Amino acid sequence: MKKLHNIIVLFLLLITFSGCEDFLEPSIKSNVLIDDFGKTPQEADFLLTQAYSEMRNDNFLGTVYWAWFPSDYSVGNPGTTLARSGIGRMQHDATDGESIRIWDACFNVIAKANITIEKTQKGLSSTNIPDTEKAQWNRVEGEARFIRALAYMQLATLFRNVPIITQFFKNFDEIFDVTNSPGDKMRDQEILVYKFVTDEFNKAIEQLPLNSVRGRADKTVASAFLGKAHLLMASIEKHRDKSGNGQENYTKSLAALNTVINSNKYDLKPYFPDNFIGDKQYAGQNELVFTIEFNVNDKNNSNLFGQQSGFFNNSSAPNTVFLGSLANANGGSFPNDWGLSAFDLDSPGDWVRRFWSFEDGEFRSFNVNTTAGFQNGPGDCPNGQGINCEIFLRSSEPYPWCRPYWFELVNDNNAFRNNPGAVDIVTTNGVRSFSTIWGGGGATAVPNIKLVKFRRNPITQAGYTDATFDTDFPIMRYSEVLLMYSEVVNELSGPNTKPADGKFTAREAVNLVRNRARNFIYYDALTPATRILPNSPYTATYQQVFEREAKVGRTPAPARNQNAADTLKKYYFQISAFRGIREVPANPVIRNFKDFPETKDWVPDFAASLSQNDFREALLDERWRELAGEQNSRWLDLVRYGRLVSNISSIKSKINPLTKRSLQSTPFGVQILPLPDEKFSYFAIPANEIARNPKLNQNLGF
Amino acid sequence: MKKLLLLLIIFFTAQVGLFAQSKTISGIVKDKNGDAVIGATVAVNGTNRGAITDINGEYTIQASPGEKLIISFVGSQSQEIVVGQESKIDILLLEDTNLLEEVVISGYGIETFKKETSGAVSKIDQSTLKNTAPVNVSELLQGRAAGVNIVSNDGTPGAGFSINIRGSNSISGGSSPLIVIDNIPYITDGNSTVNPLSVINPNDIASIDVLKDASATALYGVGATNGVIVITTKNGAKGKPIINLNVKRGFGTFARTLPVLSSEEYALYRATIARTSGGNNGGQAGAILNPGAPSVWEMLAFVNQGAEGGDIKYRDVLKNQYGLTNYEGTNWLDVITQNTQRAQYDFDFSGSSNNGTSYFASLGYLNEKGLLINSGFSRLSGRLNLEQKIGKIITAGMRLQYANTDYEGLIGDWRVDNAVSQSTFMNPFINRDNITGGTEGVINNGGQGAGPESPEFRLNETISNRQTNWFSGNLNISIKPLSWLEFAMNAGLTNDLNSSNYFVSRVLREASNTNGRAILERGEDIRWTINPRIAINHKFNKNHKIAANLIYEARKTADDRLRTTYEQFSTEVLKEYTLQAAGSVFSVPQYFDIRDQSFIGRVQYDYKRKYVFTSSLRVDQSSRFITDKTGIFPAASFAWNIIDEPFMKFSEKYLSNLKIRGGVGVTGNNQIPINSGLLLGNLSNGGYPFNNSVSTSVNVGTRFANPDVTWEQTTGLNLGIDFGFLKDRFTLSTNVYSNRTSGLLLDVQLPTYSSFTSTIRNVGGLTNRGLELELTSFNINKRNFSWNTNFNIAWNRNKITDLGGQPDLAFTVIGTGPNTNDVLLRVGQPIGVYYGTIQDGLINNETELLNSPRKTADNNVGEFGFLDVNGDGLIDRTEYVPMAYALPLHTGGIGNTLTYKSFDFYAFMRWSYGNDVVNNNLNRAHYLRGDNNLQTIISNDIWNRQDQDRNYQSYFAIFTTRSGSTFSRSEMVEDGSFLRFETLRVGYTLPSKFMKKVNLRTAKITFTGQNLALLSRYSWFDPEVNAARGQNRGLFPGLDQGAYPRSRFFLFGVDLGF
Repeated sequence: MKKLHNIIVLFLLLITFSGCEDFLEPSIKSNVLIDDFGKTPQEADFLLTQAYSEMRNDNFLGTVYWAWFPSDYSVGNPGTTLARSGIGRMQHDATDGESIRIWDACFNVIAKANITIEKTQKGLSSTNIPDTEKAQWNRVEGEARFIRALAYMQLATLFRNVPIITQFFKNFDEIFDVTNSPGDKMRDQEILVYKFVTDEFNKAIEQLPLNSVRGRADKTVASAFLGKAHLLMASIEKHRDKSGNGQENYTKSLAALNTVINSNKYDLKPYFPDNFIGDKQYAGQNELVFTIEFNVNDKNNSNLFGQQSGFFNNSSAPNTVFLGSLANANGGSFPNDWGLSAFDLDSPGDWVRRFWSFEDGEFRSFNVNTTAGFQNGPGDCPNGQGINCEIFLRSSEPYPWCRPYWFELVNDNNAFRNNPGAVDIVTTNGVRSFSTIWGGGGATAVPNIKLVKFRRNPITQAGYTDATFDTDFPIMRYSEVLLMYSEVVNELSGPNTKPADGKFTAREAVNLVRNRARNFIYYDALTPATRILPNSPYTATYQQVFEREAKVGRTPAPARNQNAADTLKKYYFQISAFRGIREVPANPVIRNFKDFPETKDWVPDFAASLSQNDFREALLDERWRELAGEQNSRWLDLVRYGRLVSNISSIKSKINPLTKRSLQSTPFGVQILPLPDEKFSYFAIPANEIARNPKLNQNLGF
Repeated sequence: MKKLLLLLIIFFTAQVGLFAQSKTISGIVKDKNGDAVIGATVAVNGTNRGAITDINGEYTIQASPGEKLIISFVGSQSQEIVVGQESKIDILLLEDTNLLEEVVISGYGIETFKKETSGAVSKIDQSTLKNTAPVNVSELLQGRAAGVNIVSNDGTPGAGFSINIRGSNSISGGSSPLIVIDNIPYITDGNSTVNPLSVINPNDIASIDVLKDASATALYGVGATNGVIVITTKNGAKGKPIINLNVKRGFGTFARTLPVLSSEEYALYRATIARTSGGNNGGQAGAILNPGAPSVWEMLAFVNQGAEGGDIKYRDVLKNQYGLTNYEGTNWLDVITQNTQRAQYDFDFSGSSNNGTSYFASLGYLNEKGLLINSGFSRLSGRLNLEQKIGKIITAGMRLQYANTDYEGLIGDWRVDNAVSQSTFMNPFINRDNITGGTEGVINNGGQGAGPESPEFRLNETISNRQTNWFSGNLNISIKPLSWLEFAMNAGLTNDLNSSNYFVSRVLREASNTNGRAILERGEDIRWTINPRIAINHKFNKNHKIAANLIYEARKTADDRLRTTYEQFSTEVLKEYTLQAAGSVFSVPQYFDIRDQSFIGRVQYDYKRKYVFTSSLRVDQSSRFITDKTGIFPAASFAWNIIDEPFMKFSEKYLSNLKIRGGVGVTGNNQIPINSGLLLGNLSNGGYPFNNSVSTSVNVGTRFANPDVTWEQTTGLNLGIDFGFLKDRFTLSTNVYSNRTSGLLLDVQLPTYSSFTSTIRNVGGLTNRGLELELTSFNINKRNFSWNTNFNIAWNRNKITDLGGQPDLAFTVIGTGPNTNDVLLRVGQPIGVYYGTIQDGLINNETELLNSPRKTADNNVGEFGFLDVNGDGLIDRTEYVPMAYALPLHTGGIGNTLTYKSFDFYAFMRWSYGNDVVNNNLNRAHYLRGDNNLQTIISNDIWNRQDQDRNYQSYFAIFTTRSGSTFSRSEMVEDGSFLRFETLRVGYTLPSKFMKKVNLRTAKITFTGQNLALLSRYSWFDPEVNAARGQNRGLFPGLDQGAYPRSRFFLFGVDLGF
């Protein structure tokens, strides 16, 4: 029986061993427990860094697919991709895929900022922390508030009636307490959101240091966006809703913008394209107030808009040279002929900005050696590689001789991939020519004017690869600050009155931007015998090209027998400007058109005689020219002025005086939107969100 | 280790006996019916002398007077006879009633006679095990136990399975049964890389008991919601040591092919498109055709030239375009497939010595070459089971297993455009020799564009293998100080080292952007289990018996792994071993462990073996739950052997068994992801490049942490009646059951403004109700000829009763774009319902077009029409209706065993009836783009204006309808019912006289055919598919997406016994 006793004792021991309290505690060593994390400013900064990272989502600031919101200057992609998104055509609804993605991306950024702020508040609330640590907590919190406000500002402009969420959800039921205003009271919520945005920017300004490392927000960065928020509020009040004169918000906006301008931290870059070229963005004058940061390693991350916008080469989609073809696949829109006329007609000689921003044209190849006939594509060139072939886009229709800047592309077989089979070859009197214009998908497909503002640089760098490219995406440039300043001052006191604490009059501010647009890269030794592409197998000279131009019979074109030297002389400045855009030389000679009186002062200053009203109108177009494709600016300008629908309606009958084309019928197809409803100037609250939380209200009209 | 040594020493020394002066003794061994017993062992005690009775029951042996003969035979009581002066000893063997009576193993060492069990248990015994040639255990279970529905994911060698016992009782909490091997439970939560069922060698298995109802499974509580599969491995039997050697070799071919257009047919068909669509297709044709391929206009131009020979001449256009020198082209399916081969070697020896040692040792090797090139599976396994009696009251044993499994090739590639799928769509004109790779890794079809990727190229340039080194050691001690009292303990340790190598060359599109990519994963799963227990087994007053068990169990599973991605290779010369040349390396570690403990009590009382009552209570605690860790799982059951009642005397002649059983019990499920209750963050150095420098970030997880999440509970009710007729010549076992799950673990989707995608909650409920029949019949039982049949059928109805107040929960499976929601869980409906628009014929003419409801994009004549369910004139997502029910109405199997003299035959068929399959391959076939090939079944049935009574859209529609539909549509739904002739086995046992000459105990030659025929209306390879992945994969059964085709297998085998 003693044996039995021993065995029982042994068993009892075994069972008590298991009584350990810790035995059932979860043990996860490879992850951070968020509840226990964020106890030092550095740990909170790790959470903040994630908030910054989420901003790189291509749907966050709408910079890729949404570069072209529908407007009078752009047209939605017609036809087949409607099922995917109707925003480009202003036919979206509550199930629209792309608006859902934007909603998701913004709230994702907000949540990451919220968790950061939760931790910093805890850190700041503890007593007896040293001042240095307090400053660190404050900096982290200020940046998080800035990011959160930025996301809300984006939501306010697009969805208007968005719920304000300032907590990081811990309790299941609280997720479903979130609500917004009923559809007919959506304006109330919009006001609340803008109020929240400006409050947050103000708090951020208090907490942030004066200067910070590149990529992080500081006092002046937050001030610039505060100025933008107040400007939006003011113009909505005065112009869209006509519910007041916006005086208070214009004044606040001016104060904020003055902080930025008077900080003397920023200046315009002498040469416009340098804002979008990786190695020049941070050299010399600092124009970039705030950018989304990238570095070369980001090319592997397929979620980054940097890759998809063409900042980096994406070899899984080698066809996407242009933003247009991406937009094509995602229901976006394209600049139209009318949009280009805002350059060509209203701002003659606005070469640098116009051609840095857009391309339009057709894709052709031409055998230089024989000039005998057109061929189908780079693969059909004599050596199969496109060498000695001329491939050009009929870019800038009025000035066809500028097109040589495309020639080198034939070396990069990947640069232009599309469907040469869609080009019809027509033989008339023994001369072969094209009858259809090449576009994204055949004769009646989308117009083929493309936004290339963010893509130009890689194209211009011969032999670039993924790994050698590093460009940050500009969200706020100093030129926008000046344009906002100009708008605010004009609204408060007209174009020619300098405000008390301001540096410039409205006209002076905008003319700083105009003056910069006149800067171009000057080549001082071009002759008809100059090779169009100095470092290329393509050997054609200007003279050869002019002659062939004449043969093809372009309109307008150099006359058949015109002396090549005269032609070159006549268009010397344009050609020089184009070469600059094409080549981006290492040590460019930047000159201003004003230095050459014979150019007749292209990109003229805004005249002092403009009335307040005319100035306002001129400024709107100037914003388009300077900011095209950045932050859906044209769409937003029309929306905040309450004229999205009326402007789109009024362009129906307009004719581009230079191309003599009506937007109703261009070789690119119809370039105007169907007459939209006012409700399409904002988005619907995503249907799934309402399905999951019935306390959310849908926007008016959806 | 000392113990092991000791046991080994005992084992070897036991065989050394003394050889005394002896004489020859012979005799006949007979059973109580007077029939000769073949194969009985006659051994001289304490020596290594022994004999086996021959076909006439005769034996001869050397023995001296005074020595003891031990005569043993399976199912009989052993006899001991002391040798006297006689030289002829005839022996009568008596049935061992204890042994013959079937035993049900409920686990934790608890064995119950079948007569006394009250639960629903299916048993797979030796005869079934012997008759099949399975690669793994799951394959063995398919169709053999009523209510056990096992669907192999596809035809991949060593493929995964989804096992459902009595339907799915859980949605997000895992729906796999608990696997118990030699008393050690393994919860396969689907996240484990290795399933214990795939590492265990079927040859090592003595029996499998499938516990189906809650009163039986409640003993296991945790993880037993979906049933328990109890596997017991072999042990040495009494008698002479036995050596078995089995060799099987065989090959397989494509079981069912999918004919596609030959190059000539393809040319004709392309010409037809050109003629029917012309150039007037809205400018889209050019864009949708592959760049570089002839455009519609070109083709049209050619056809319109009125060239002699008409359309057929179009071949020349294609031939020149792709640089072919003949018209043959390529059949891509042929290119990527090969004949399968399998070699299976099993070697084992077992026995037991008279001093209480029994042993079983085995080695097995299996190698299978898959149907796709570069794919295969191999397993090397070894086992040693030892058991030793120490003194009178202690028994100790250990079971060691080692297995190495190796999967080669792209196994489980569920991408829509995987190699199998791609091969059925590749244009036959694409020149195999023109595949150049390069930066895009694409077929260079004319120098232009990103064409389809060659499946052959992809399979050749990708290296993928997954290895497991599984070691498990299992120690058990049982102490029986009194005849009615037992102390026992099991301790098990499993170490599973698994690794996977995945290498994609830069020439493939997948890795061209990163200059090659290698992903290496090394993981170590360590689990231990310990369960001390006390058992009481007491009989008193002759009629009363009480069995009681008290068990404690603790378990820990630790998962420790490292996943490293290598990119930017400067060279790829050593493929997945070129890691030094990688320019970019990053690793992600993972470590977590899960701990559980349980307290179990069980009491069984029976009176006269007529009335049996069992009740158990189990308390489980799991570290997966944060605030509420404890689950309580009670169960109670009864069995009444009516046949033993006096009033049943009248039926004695024909009724041999009548038993009513019933039980109710609760089981629990804790199979939730590790981050369900805790909000976790990931540390990353790829944060935000402030000033182009590296920064650290912590990313908050996207699953909302719900610390209150706790056990999901299933209450099961089971009633059964067992019949036996004519001395159990026919037996019928019936069960009806109802399982009700409450506190259903659901991955509830959250509004995205919360920044969380979902959270695991205990909401909702569902039920499974069903009926199961298992029939066994000994049709003929003659001396030279016997025939018996096993038949089973099961009906199960699954119904969702509650979804936490929501009417439905939506998931996206087939469609593209956000929120397609093609699978809905809806209250009142079963799991596995796919929703979509209902295809309603084709639009035959302009009038019909005008009257047809509008899709989002405009319809054309010759395209599918859709049913406007709600009559609003629009076809959109608001009117998704159920279009496919993926769960079967009933499943079952029928097996027939025949023996005739030395021949035996085994034939097994199984079926599934009434289930739909969503054939996502059709989505691609119906919305072809570019210059893809078509399947013959489709091309023969394509609409045109002359022949309108067709099932598929016009060529024009196929080629102009946008890139695949974002809708899920009913025309992708097919009837997935099937009847599969799974196994046919013919065996011939060599005559014993011959065997004696060559010193063999047994010798048998077998031929086995597997998957010999499939009866199904399904249009693609095989309706038995499951492509679903992820946490909620249980919700998407019956999805076919380029599934790996099955092969038809022929195996020849030789079994030798020494």
